[in-house]
Amino acid sequence: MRVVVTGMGALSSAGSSVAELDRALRESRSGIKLFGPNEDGYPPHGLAGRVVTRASASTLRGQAMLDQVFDEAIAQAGLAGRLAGARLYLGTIHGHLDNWSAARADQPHDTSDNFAALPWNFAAQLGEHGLRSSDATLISTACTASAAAIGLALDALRTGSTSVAVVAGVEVMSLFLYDGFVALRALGKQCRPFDVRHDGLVLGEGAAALILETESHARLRNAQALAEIAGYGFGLDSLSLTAPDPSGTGAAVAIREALVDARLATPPRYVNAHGTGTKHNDNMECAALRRVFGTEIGQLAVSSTKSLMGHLCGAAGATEVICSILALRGGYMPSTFGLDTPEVRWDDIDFVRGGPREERFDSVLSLNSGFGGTNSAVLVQRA
Amino acid sequence: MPLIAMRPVVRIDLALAELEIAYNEQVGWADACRINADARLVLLGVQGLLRDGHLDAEALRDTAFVLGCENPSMSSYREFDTGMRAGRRTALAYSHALPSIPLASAALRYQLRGHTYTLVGGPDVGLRVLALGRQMLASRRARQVVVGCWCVHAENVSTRHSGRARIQLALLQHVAATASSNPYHPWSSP
Repeated sequence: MRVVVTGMGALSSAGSSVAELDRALRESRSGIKLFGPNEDGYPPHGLAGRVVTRASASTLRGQAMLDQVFDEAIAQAGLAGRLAGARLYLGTIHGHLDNWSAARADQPHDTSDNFAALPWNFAAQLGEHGLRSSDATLISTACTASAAAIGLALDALRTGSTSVAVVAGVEVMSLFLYDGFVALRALGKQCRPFDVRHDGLVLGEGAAALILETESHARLRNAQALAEIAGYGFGLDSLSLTAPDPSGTGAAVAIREALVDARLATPPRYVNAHGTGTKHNDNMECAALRRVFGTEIGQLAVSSTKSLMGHLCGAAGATEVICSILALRGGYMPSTFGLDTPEVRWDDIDFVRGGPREERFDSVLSLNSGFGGTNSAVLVQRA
Repeated sequence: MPLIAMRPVVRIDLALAELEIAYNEQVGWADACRINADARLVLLGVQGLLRDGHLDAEALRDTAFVLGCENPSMSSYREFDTGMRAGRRTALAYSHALPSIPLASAALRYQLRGHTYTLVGGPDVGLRVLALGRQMLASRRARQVVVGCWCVHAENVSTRHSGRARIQLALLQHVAATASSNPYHPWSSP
């Protein structure tokens, strides 16, 4: 059974809609900026990919981000007011952590863990979009969260549990998140994935949503299929809670599973890599690609779109699948901004750099990895 | 749709003070001496699968896990947040302040190779866990799935609630994969 994408919504520092994101990818225009300490304190200093939301004083930022991408995706799919019975798969790490942290400022020793104030309470807003909280599954598998959400929605559609699924990812930048990565010494001076000078990641924030349907359901209502979600794979490193396995074993497992799942006979032409810009991640990912594709690795073109918007953590997977679909449909491969000189040891890999590459291709592999050694791969094909 | 059987396998309900003792006695993983209470509880639960003979070590590695929690890893969240306000940024507290770290700790300790998912939600998160576990079998992502929920309630002096740690795990399998004289309780998937 084929599963297709019929709607997309995206919000990141690279653009506040899918059309803006497409332009940023085509123009290799980065939304990452240098921030000084500002009135809300986020981020305290340094580079980040922040977004402007339509949040009012009473609306949580994460909720405002999700509202925006839900509206865009649902409108494109032509499903406004027609989502009764649709499943929601939402990927996030920290959810409304900014709200929890702010609420805690008044009662720092309170350990009551009232659910209403907990970061993962997203139930309140779903009704506005025609979704029910009883149909929502919130997945938190670190930075693979929204890619896993896509994979689980794919399986739900294939097994007949539902005919429409809304998949989303959201991550809000907070002082907690920023300081956490400062503590881990994981932040870089610039986001330069796969470059000899890569020295760390740059944080971003944002949200993304995709409407997934069975092909038959989309046809029945004459909805346009934007792309096919053809395969999904998941793999574990089981080596460290924070560092990736340098051999790339877990990521390779995820890639192989996605390829088998999609019944792909030839390697995908383009790989949208996790590409955080940390040495550990970049090296692991290249090792995984070499492990899977061997001598055929030269047939792949690889880039990281994080260099244009920062690392969206739990929202990265869904956002990067949308980047992959835009590339597939637009006949271009996004460039890795900031990649001037690739690491010599990966000279057998064709990194897209110096501007997007115009080329028509039929399949994309979108990769993500996260803390705890989770790895995901989503295979997207032309519809 | 194939029949799927569920067998409750582990149930732990401890005062928070007893969790430390039980963890040290039954898991005693020296490499993870500073993992949070949620991770210790999940490790204790997974150890129970082995201890009681529900799975051997090899079968455990290829088993998928879907676990749910309402308020995961809150002790690490509170620890990092409190430190941050005092100007201390402790990497260890931050790296454990993730919902998925307890299951990731189990993956590391027992060298798991199957799919592992942590779901977060309200009191009904267990229903999502069960539905996802069943889906993983139906979609052939796994031959057996451990599903379950855990919660760690911190001691709260102001409300006089003592801390509590609870985990419950069940094993999901296709009925065909179980012995004919099995003690399972099958039901039909819709």
